[in-house]
Amino acid sequence: MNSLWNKFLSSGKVNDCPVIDIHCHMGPFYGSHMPYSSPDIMVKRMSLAGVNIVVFSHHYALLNPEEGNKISIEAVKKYPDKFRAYCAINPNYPDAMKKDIETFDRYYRDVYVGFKLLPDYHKYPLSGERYRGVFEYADSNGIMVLTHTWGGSVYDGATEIEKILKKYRKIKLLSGHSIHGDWEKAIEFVKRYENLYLELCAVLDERGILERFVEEAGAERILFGTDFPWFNHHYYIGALLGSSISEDNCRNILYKNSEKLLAL
Amino acid sequence: MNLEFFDVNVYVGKRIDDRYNISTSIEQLIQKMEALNIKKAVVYHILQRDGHPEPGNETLIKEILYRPELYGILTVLPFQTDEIKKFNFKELKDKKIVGFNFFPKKHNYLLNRATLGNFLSEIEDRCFPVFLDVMSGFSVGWNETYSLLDDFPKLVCILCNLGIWNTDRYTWPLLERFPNVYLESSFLSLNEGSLEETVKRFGAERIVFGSGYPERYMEASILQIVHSEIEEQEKRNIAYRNIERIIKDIKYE
Repeated sequence: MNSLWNKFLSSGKVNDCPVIDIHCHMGPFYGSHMPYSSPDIMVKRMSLAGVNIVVFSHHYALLNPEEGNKISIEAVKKYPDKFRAYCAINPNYPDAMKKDIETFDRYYRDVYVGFKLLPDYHKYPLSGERYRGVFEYADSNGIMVLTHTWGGSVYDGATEIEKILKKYRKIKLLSGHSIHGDWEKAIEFVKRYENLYLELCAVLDERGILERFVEEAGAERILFGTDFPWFNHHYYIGALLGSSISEDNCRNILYKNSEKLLAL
Repeated sequence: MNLEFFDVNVYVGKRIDDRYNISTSIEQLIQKMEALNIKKAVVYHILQRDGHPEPGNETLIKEILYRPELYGILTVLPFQTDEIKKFNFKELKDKKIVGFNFFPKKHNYLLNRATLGNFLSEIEDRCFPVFLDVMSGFSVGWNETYSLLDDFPKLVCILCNLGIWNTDRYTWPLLERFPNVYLESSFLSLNEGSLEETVKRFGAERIVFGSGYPERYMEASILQIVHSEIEEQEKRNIAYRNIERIIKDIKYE
């Protein structure tokens, strides 16, 4: 077991191993009791595990970006050292979406670091025409797009993801949940497309998958993400450290890869 | 803090679909437990679930017999089909059996009063814990769990593998109403704030440590409990003492 395990076990956090959580949310959500989802509590809880920065999309923004993105912006302004946000996109409201893309640049870097898409929930396919504006903007500016991806989904499963990867080569596409369940495709794609990143939320719930990812594709494009405040940072850190991957690779995943993406 | 653990949610044996090489032998399990300060564990054999309970139970009993750190749970089928023998409770103590589990969805029957009423009444009286898996799809769902507890309200029931998404809305009404319901901790640890908030409302006595190994990482549940925002004494109760007390209360005679 790598030495980071003992350090996290004894102190809960490790100074020379900060954590960046690239896939988070904020606020309550219909299907799950989330007692610690307010910005103030989130910041307090992050400190327990040495989580320096979380990148989030507010749940309300996923439903109604017009109103919800404003809440995200306010939260980042309140805690500029702890939060960065994704500009949430809902393709079912094209007018609001257009406005969000137009105003993205105003908040880029200080608040927003990319876009967040949720095709499965919005019931709209990733390669659908209404997303074109987001992808073209992100591609021409080399911006991150975090999208929910789930194996077998007609909205954001492997077939849809590959259409985007083939078309947009400069975009940094973060595959939220790593095409959950379709692990072989996730490995195949990350090897084939240099602009794809695999994000670990819901991957670490099962033993053996991460080890396979690293063995097949290396750890340089694997990112630590938890859906916090859905899930607990120590649980996910423990899972990562409990895998058989090396300390160097744990560090890549916990912070180094995301530092590069966020240009920190 | 040097916490010792007693894990109530572990299985051993070769899985039928081991694509990611997670199957664990007794020897591998014990090695893992030693590395993580897990002093004892309650286990079942995967053959009990994915094969057949009769050979599965026998295999388990043989494998744990000379392993002082391991206790077993036996899998039950409806007795009407004579596929498993009736249990001699007195003998179960020597065999280190500390509870029962059920996989009605996998084994195709209904876990209710009509099917297993006499048996469930007896283990309710004897304070034998049942380990109910509510997420895997092999055992029971929440409706069956609620009905079972309505019928057997004093049943010592340890709800395991609660679910990936937070289950407080399901579990808290049960904790409120049924005094012998306990929650296995692995998914409480996964869900942000769930362990702490459950302790705040119902006390640490209602939670027992479990890892979900070999399907999930033991280190995940351990790290969360060690650094959870609850009192040290509460951590010790969850990690070890609660299940020790539950086992001690079993009436074998």
